[in-house]
Amino acid sequence: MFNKILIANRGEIAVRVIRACREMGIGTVAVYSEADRAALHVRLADEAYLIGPAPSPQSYLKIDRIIETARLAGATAIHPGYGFLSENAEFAMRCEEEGLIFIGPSSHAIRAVGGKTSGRRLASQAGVPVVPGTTRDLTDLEVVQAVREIGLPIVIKASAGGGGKGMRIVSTEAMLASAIRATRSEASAAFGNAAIYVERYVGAARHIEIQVMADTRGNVVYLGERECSLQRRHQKVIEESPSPFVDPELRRRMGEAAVKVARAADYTNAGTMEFLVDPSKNFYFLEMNTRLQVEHPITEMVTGLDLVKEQIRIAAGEVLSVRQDEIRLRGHAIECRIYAEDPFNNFMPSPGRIRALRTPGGPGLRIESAIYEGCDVPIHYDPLISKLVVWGRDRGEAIARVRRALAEYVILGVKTNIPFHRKVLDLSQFVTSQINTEFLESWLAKGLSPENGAFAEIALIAGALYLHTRKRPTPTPVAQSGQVDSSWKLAARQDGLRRR
Amino acid sequence: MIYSADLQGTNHKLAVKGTGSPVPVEVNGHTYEVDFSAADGSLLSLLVMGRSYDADVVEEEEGVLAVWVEGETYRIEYQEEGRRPRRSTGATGHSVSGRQVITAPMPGKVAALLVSPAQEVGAGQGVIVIEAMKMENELKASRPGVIKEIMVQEGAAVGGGDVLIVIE
Repeated sequence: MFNKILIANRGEIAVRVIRACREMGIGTVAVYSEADRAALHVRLADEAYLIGPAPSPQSYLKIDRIIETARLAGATAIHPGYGFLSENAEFAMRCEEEGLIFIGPSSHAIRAVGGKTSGRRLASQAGVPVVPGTTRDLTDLEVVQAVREIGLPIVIKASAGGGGKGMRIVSTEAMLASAIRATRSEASAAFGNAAIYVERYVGAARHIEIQVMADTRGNVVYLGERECSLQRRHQKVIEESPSPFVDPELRRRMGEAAVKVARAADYTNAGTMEFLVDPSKNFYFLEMNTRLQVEHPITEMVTGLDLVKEQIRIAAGEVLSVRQDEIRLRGHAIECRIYAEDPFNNFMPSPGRIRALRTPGGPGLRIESAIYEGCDVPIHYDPLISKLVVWGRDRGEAIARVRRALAEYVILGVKTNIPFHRKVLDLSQFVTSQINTEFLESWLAKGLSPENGAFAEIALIAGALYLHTRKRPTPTPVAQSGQVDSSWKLAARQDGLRRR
Repeated sequence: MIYSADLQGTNHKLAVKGTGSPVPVEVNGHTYEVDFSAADGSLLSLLVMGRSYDADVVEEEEGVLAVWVEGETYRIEYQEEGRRPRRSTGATGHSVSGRQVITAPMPGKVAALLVSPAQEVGAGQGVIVIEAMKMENELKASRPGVIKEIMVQEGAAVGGGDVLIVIE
């Protein structure tokens, strides 16, 4: 087993990996940009090293710098998390060349199946159905030609894309030029690669993905599915496992298809096959994500496995801890992605300082987050600030629990999409799972109104009392010592003194 | 103390009639006996006629509070009676003359300028792309007009509220 692992990431996923390492008795090395000096992953790691300025191309995407840091710190393995360099074949190859273990698939497997176009080729060779479209990178002119052949609507996708970024649906020819430009520019900013390809846009389908795990001894298992149809701007918002739409037979067929693709790519470690599933339960391979997914916790909740620990063990050459026939899905899990964005102002990003934070608690609940009270949410990175994950004995309990937990979750200082989640979870279409990948957007097109005002009067009173008590701070030694950032604090202290 | 509070464009009158807790609070003509308690920071609890309300308050800017109650967040602008009105921050400037001021809705970077000076634009036409938190956000003209002024260059860092483009 490894002595020390470098985590080439930031945010909640870096924290998630650090936690797994600590439980396994493995030392942790964090890397951070100038914007992240006070970030939680830096605070929790055993060691931390500055790797560059805030923009990720100068820090979290700097392969040389990260490898050099691993060397200097004496780390023998690197966990890439998701995003950044996690699906970068060159990074995996550089690790291999330098004798560092990349906790993920081999650079060869990333090339074979991780590129969106290569993955599509491989899947169709393995006999798994794919969505019609091109199987190689295109020039702008070729995109236009491809659109003529395939017919509108189409999706332009970044070949190196992932996480819902770098893709645009095009339904009219007039939109094409700006969509090409936007996709290329987003792709080169986010992935350092502006290559794009084209796929027919399949509407009214579900986005369902299969988690696979493969060790270096040739064992491959699938860990059930995740229902990821609730998306906004191709960004998953709420995921659940199992999918209410998938029956055991479909699960087996999709799982076996996923394993087939993984075997064809000589795949090792954690990976996810994304599928579109139409209303008649036909499924089409979309792409493979050659990394740990954001939404991996819901699979952990229903399988009882720790996918990060499993990843680390596989990378260390150990055999998978479970066989396919030992995998049982138990209960139901739901994840809400909490973003720093304003749902009532077209979901504009809302970076800033977290001024108040209270997290929900109780049974069956897990929060994956890297924010704390007083921390800054920088403008340079992904707006994901927390993942609220719940488990219930059945879907009904999971829904009730996630609603309850969201009502307890206080994040003030930045705007968040918590109110949006609460509205979505109340929709009858969600409760009965009558959804597809277009559902959220079309529901949102009707406009999202702010809070329903059930507590407006109480809020007005609470605010007035806050101002009212602040207006009368009786000077005390406590007050004069400076750093009294709130009159409530002051009032509480005075109260405490009086009681003494 | 008497307050005038603006919540989503509706004005409310509030009067806190005393000090300490419980305290009578009048809101829109109704008076409630409010028992409240503050723990550390901004946390507070309200008891009104036996009902318990969980709340949190943070002052986002002077006089503007984010008030969280039972899972819902309200943004309320307070004005103390008899005090000079605080100046409006006026995020998006629309005036009767047809002048439109496109401002940055959040801090970020200018990813692309989609128009040039003196260019005519239609309603809903994208004029500038701001990148923040790895997402591109296209800002659009709300009405037809002519590009009067472009205050930023591609690649420039902008702050929330910065004026980017003026359309007339």
